[in-house]
Amino acid sequence: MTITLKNVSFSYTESLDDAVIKNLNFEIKSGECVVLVGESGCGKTTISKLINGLIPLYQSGTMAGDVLLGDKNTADMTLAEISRHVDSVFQNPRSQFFNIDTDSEIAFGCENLGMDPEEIRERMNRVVKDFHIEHLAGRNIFHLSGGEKQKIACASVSAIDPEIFVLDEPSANLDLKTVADLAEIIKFWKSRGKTVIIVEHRIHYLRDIADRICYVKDGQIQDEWTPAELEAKGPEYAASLGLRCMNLEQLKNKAPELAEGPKRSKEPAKQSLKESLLFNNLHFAYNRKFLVLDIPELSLPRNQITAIIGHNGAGKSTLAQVLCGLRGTWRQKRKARKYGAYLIMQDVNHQLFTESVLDEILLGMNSQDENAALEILERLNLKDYASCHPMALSGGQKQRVAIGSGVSSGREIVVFDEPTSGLDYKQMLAVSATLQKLAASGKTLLVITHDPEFILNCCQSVIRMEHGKIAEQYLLQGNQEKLIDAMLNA
Amino acid sequence: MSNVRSTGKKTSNTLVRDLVNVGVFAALYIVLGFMSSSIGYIPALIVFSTASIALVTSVPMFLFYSKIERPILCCMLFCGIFGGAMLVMGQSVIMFAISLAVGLLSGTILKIIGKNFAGLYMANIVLSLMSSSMMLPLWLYTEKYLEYTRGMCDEGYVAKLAELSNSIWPLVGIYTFGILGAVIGGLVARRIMKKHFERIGLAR
Amino acid sequence: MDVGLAGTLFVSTMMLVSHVMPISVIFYYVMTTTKVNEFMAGMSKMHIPNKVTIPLAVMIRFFPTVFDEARDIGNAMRMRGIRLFSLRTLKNPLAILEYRLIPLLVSLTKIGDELSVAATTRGLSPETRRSCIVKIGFHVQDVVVFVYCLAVVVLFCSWSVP
Repeated sequence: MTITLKNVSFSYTESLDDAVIKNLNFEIKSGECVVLVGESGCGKTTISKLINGLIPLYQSGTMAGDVLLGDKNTADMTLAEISRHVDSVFQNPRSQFFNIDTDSEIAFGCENLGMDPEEIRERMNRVVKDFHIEHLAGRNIFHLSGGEKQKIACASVSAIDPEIFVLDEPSANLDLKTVADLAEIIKFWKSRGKTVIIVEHRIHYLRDIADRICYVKDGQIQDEWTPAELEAKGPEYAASLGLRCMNLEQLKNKAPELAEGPKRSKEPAKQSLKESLLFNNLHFAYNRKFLVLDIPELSLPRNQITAIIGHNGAGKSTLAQVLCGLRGTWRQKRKARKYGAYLIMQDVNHQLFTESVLDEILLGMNSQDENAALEILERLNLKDYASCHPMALSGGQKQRVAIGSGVSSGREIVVFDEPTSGLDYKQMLAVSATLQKLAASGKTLLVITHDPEFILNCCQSVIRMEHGKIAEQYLLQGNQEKLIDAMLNA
Repeated sequence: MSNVRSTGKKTSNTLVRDLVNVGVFAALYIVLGFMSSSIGYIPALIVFSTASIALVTSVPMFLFYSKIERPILCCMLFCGIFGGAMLVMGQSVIMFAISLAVGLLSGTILKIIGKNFAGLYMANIVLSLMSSSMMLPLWLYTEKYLEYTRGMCDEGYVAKLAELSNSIWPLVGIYTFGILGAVIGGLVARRIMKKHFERIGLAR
Repeated sequence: MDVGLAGTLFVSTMMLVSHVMPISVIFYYVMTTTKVNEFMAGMSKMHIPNKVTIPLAVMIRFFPTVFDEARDIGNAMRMRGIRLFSLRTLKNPLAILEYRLIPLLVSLTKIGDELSVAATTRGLSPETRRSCIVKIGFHVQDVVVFVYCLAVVVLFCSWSVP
């Protein structure tokens, strides 16, 4: 089934003057794997919505032109009809599932379409076998990790067996190993002759899968390449388009940006307390038997950015929460309140409370010093937004507001939980710059991340966790290959 | 430019959006209502329990009313679900009937007056009648209700309840305070809508 | 029996616990063991329209989410030093309501919107009749339980009406 966009314009408002897509003509043939790339706001997600029918049937706005699936106009169909032919997987694993258990979720789409129960069972079994997710069957979705949830989402749409799959930044919140599994799933679909459209920033896992990569800018498809052509143009060119690194192997040879670190502390000293921060007895268990966190001693180099890596369930988030006093024994919590860390959460919306950015910074302060608050905003490039509502800002700006409130809390250690998930190259660099500034101003930073490019860009040392213990801790300089291998094979 | 038209109109395609909103806000209403009604476990303060429910839930309800596309359907479903949940948890059938009536009334108000402040405000007040009616059985079927609570709590509490049921005034008080809570809650909610949700772009 | 204010408070707290406990337990049991699709299929067999069952199903699925988000926001509040009985909150009691509710509402509406999109694009529609992989219907076990419940209700009614 060919997808055709004929002279399509779309705007999210009531007039086409601020159209996101202008007079777009685009065609995707049956069985193709097309990747839509571009900087944030360029319109690639809008194009994906045009393909899966959300525009014009669900999303409010103004549209001109037609979208054809085969020879039928989507405007004449219902979303239920379209879902027989086009199905989508979105970027946020936690908000896609309708059911509480995995089996029902996989069957969800088929049940919606009224298929025969016997057939649904057959399809479910087939999908579980094809995706190798037997270990996920019959489980409570709330207990799954992000990557596992995303696999269930893929299984759910795969059971419907449409001709076209639309994926909107599916790898955004996943670690490298799960991304590899996702690549396998897409390869599988391709081998069945399905059309797959993927909107992405991270395209390293699609090198062998994509047929063409389309660069979207200002609502137009400006350029088109095969993966080989794009890679041949060199990493700087890809970076200028906002794309993340195409080839992870190349990263192994890349020298980390911050080899030296600020002049004061050159290496993570183990002895002197001035050079590094020591934590003792970081043990935590949900129940008596099973220790989730088992770290007798942790030493963090001061005024540096340390990355924490490890597969899902290794205990990284628990460590962050214990350090910040959000979890742990009563004694641990009390200590953390005095000497502990400030956490910048993955979902920044959970930590924005007030009606203006300035108030947000003031909220964390003990002494309501407006001048000091404005200074913090200045350093974070937020001075112009001082009176804006925090929740109305963009994702990157919200993150900086949260960082600002962390700074104003006066705590020396700041922990970041996945600060770069879903960001394009330029946004990642901006976050990296902010973190470096923060470290230079005297803070010690700890970053939980799955993003190897980001680590190479701003971190000085790496801690790898496994089963609640610290498996290794090393300086990044000279150990890039070790890092990349560890992340790929977690 | 070929056929410029607006998209996302109210059709069967967008019905699920409204239904999901009903579900989300029903869950939130029940959780918040339950927590804020805890004040009513002190018999002397039982008059204030509905006031606190109305006050706290005004904010999410204002948001709910401004988001739904089909006021009558959504309000009736919302209130019906609440009434049904109460029915399952042991309240009387009359509570369920009152919930449906409240739903119908608040939905109609929203449809007729529209989604401006007046409409939201009045619908919110009508809604408070629903939670106030939870205590109605104590006055309507006094003996049966006392029997019901006797099974759950001790004599002292039941005696205090019996005391309350002797006169009609506590019941009037409950409804009045409920409405009062909604009145104040509505003003608070409007302030919060202006201060926050309109600036974020969540409220239409 | 006059037990004074302290006594009343104590009794009320105990009553709170004993009143809330059975309901919470039943609630928890129903929430964690009911499969959404079985629930919806059961309802549609009773000829309750999809328009009613979808919000109910969403509500069931959302209870854990409400608690998860509220807990996360509570954590963030604790980190900021916003506590229930500090000087700051006593000056402005409604602020606590704001801090608790605003992020929760923003978060829940976002998740709700994303959920509707994910469900609608997978064909959920109140107009079409859903099938269910689990066979719903009355079996022997259900008849036994039903008769038992009926008996209890009858006994209870005949006992309380003298």
